[in-house]
Amino acid sequence: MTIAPGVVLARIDEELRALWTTPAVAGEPLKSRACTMNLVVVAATPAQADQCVAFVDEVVKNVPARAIVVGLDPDGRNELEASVSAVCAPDPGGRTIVCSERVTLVARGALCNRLSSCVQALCATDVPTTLVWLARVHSDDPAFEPLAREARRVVLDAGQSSIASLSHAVRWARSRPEDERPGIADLVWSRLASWQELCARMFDPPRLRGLVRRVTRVSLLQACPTGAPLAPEGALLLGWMATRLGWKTASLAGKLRLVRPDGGYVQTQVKQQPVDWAPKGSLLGLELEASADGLAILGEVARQDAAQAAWRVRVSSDSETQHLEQHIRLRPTGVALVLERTLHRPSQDDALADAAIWADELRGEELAGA
Amino acid sequence: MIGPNPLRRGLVEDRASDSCAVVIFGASGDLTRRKLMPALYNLAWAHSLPGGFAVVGVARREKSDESFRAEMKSAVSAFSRRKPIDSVVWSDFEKGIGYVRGAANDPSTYEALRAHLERMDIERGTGRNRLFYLAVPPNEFGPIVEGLRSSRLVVPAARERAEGIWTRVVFEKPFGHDLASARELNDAVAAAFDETQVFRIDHYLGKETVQNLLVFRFANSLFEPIWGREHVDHVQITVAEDLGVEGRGKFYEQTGVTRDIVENHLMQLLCLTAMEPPISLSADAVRDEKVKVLRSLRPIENDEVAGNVVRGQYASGVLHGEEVVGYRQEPDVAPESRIETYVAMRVFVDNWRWSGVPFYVRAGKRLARRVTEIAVAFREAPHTLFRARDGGITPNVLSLRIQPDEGIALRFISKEPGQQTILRDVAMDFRYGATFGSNTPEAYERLLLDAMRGEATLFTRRDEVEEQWAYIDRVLRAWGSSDAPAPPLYAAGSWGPELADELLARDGRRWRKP
Repeated sequence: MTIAPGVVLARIDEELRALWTTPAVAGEPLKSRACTMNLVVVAATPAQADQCVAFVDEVVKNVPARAIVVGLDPDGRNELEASVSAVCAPDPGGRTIVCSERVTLVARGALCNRLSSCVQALCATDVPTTLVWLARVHSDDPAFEPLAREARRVVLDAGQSSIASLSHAVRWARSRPEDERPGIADLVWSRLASWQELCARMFDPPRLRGLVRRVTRVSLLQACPTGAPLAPEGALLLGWMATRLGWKTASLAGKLRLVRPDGGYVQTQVKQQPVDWAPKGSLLGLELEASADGLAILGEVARQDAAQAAWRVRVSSDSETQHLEQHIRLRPTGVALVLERTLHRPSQDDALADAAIWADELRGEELAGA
Repeated sequence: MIGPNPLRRGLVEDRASDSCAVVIFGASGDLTRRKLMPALYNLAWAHSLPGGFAVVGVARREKSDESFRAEMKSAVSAFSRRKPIDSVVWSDFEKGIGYVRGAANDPSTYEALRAHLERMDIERGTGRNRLFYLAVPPNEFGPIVEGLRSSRLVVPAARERAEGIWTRVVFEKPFGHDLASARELNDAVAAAFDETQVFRIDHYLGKETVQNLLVFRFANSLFEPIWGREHVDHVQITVAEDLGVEGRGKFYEQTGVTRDIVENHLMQLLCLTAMEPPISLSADAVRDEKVKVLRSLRPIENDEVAGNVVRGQYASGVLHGEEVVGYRQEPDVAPESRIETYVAMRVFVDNWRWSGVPFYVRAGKRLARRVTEIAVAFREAPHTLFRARDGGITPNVLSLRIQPDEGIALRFISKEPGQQTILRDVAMDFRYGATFGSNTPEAYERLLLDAMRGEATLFTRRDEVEEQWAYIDRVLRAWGSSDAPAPPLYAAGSWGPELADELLARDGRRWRKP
C-alpha cells in the first residue's frame, strides 16, 4: 500500500523534532543544532542522490544546514520515500557537538512534478534556501522552477549538465523580478576561481594594466583526447575573459573569431592532452599574449599535476626582459569542498551570468585559431 | 591615470595588492616569528599575495638569507594556522625572503636595504612598491623613520601618484608613551610620510568579531533603535587575560596595562560600540565617527580619578588549579613596582545618544579567564508583573564575545514550563565557530593585506591616537603624582581588586563574570 505524501512528510517533521527533544544521556557531550540554510540537493536519479549523501554530509559539517537530498524517479509509481539523520561534528572548541539535519527523499512518478511542495514542507523557517540542482535544466521542467523560485541561490554543475543548462538558468533568473531573483552559481565556475585569479594577476602591475585591453592570443589546454570540443571549464573561462574585456564574436569564412573593442583579433587556440590525473574536460593550461607600445607580455598557467600549477610571466620591452615564476597550490576540486566554497561566495555573480550566456552563444561552433 | 584591472571586476579578491616588497624591521623578534611571517605565508597559501612579492627582514644579528629563511620556516611551521606547512607554497614563498643586517641608527643599513630592494624589483618584480613594517620597540620608530627619509627610501606621496608606485609604513602599538610623545612621534613621522602613507596597527581591529561589530550594529535594523540612553542601562567592556607578563617584565615595567591595552584596544572597542553610523565604510568616514566618540569622552580630572578609575596589580594566587607568582616576582620586575596590571574605569560619552550611560571598562592580566567581550545591559522592564520569588527579573544583556568562543548572545527571561510561574534567564546564543567554521583569517592577515592594498579603515589615524592619549594621559598623570597610593593587589586567578567591584556597587551594579 502506498503511503500518502502528507503522512510521510508529517512523520519526517516529527522525526526532525525528535532529534532535538531526546534527553541527552548523562556524560554525553552537549549537542547543539545549527542551521544557516536549507540546502536542497536534487539529483537526476535515486542512485545519484545516494552518491550525493556523502558529500552533503561533508559540506554540512562546515556549513550547518538542514540538508534535503532528493532523488528523482519520474518513471516510478507515485510515492515519496523519506528518512532523517543528524550529521554531527565537534565544534572548533571541541566542547560541544554541532549537528545539522539531513533528510533524504526519493520522489517517484507524479511526485516529481509536486516536489517543491514536499520540499517546502520540510524546510527550516527563517533561513535562506540554496538549491543544488545536479541535473539538466529545461525550460518546461515542473520540478526545477518552483524549487528555484523559493531559493536565494541555485547551484548548478555545468560539468555534469551543460553550458546550455547553466545559460538557461541564468536567463530564467534574469527574467525574474529583481527582488525575487535567485543568484546562480556553478561548480565549474567555482573551480575556475584560481585560474581567474592567476590570469588577473598577470595584469595587476600598473605598467602592464594597459596590455589587458590588447590581448592577441589565448591558448587553452584541456584534459581530453585530441579533437574534443571546448569543454565547460574552458568555455566559461573564455567567456569570463571575453565579457570582462569586451570581446565579441564575428563570423568569417564559417568560423568564429574573437574581436577586441579596438577591432583587433584575438587568436584562440584550444588544445587537448589526455592525462590520467585530471577529470576529463578540465583545464590543464592557459597562455595569454598581449602587446602594445613596445611592451609585450606572455603569461602562462600550467598545471603540473592534480594539485599544483606554475604561473609564469615574461614581460619584454625594448630594453629588458623580465621573468616571474610562481608555483601555486591549486584548491582541491572535490565536490564537497567546491560546493562549500561556492556557498561562501556572494550569491549574485554577474560575471558568471555574463560568461555563461557568452559561452552558450558559441553553441559548439569552431573558433578560428592559428 | 591608470584604470583598474578589468579582470579583477567581480572576482572574490577584487582588490588585489600591487606587487610589492614588505620590509620588516625587527625581523628577529617574536612578532615576526609568531604573527607576521605566518600571516604572509597564509596569504601566499590563499593566493592573496601579488605576483611580484618579496619579504625583507632587517635586524641587528648577523644572518644569511638562507639562515633567515630556515628560521622563518620553523616559525611558520610552529605558528601558522595552516599546518603542516605546504611544501609547494613554501618553496615558492621562501624564494622571496631575504635578510639585511643593520641597526636602526646606522645609515649603511638603509644603503644595504636600498640595494636589496632594487635587486628584488628586478628579480621578483616588486614594482618599486615598499611596505615598511616597524615591528620594533617604540624608541626605534624615530631613528628608522629618519633613516628611511634621509636615504630616500620614502617616495613623496605626490610623486607616488604621478609614477604609480607607493611607499607605506606600518607602526606597531604602542604609538607613543603619552600624549606628548605620541605627538612628537607623529610629527617625526609626518616629516617623512604623508598621513595617507601611515598605517598605525591595532590588531584588535583585524579580528573578524570586531569587524562584525559594525555589521551587527548597522546591518540589522533591530538593534540600532535601542542602542542608546533610552534603552541601555550601561555597557561593560572587558579585556581579560589569564596570562601574566610572560617574560615581558621589562616591557611591562615601562607600560602597564593602561598603555598596553586600554589606550588602544579597549578605546577602539568603546569607539566601535558607541559611534554613530558612518556615511560610508571609507577609511576616513569610519575614523571620523570614532574620533567624535573620543572627543565626547568626559575628561576624568585629577580629583576624579580615584572615584572613577581603579588600578591593581596581581599578587600570587591560583589559576586553573596551579599556583602562580605575583607580578613583583616576575623576572625583570622591580620588587616595589607600582605598575598596574589591572585597570577598571567608569567612562561617560557625553553626547546625545549616550548621555548618562556609564561605560564600565576593565582590562587586566592574570584574571580568572581569558575573555574579551562587550556587554550591553538594557534597562529593566518599566513595570514588574512578576514577583521576586518567581525567579526575579534580571535585565536583558546583549554580549558580543570577541574572544574566545567568538559570538553573540542575548540573555532574556523565560517562563519555566509548569503550573507555577517561575522565571529563568535563558540565552539565544550565536557562535561563529559553529556557524561559519573556525578557519577564519588571523587579524594580521587581514591587516597586512589591507596595508598592501592601501585600505586604511582598520588602522588608526593620527587624531585618533592623540585623542586616545589625551583621555588616558590625565589618569596616568594622577597616578604619577607623589601622593598617589600604590595599586592594590589582587590574587592571580581572581577578577581583580575589590575596589573595582565597589566602583560598580556604588552605582548599584556589578561586573559580569563572563
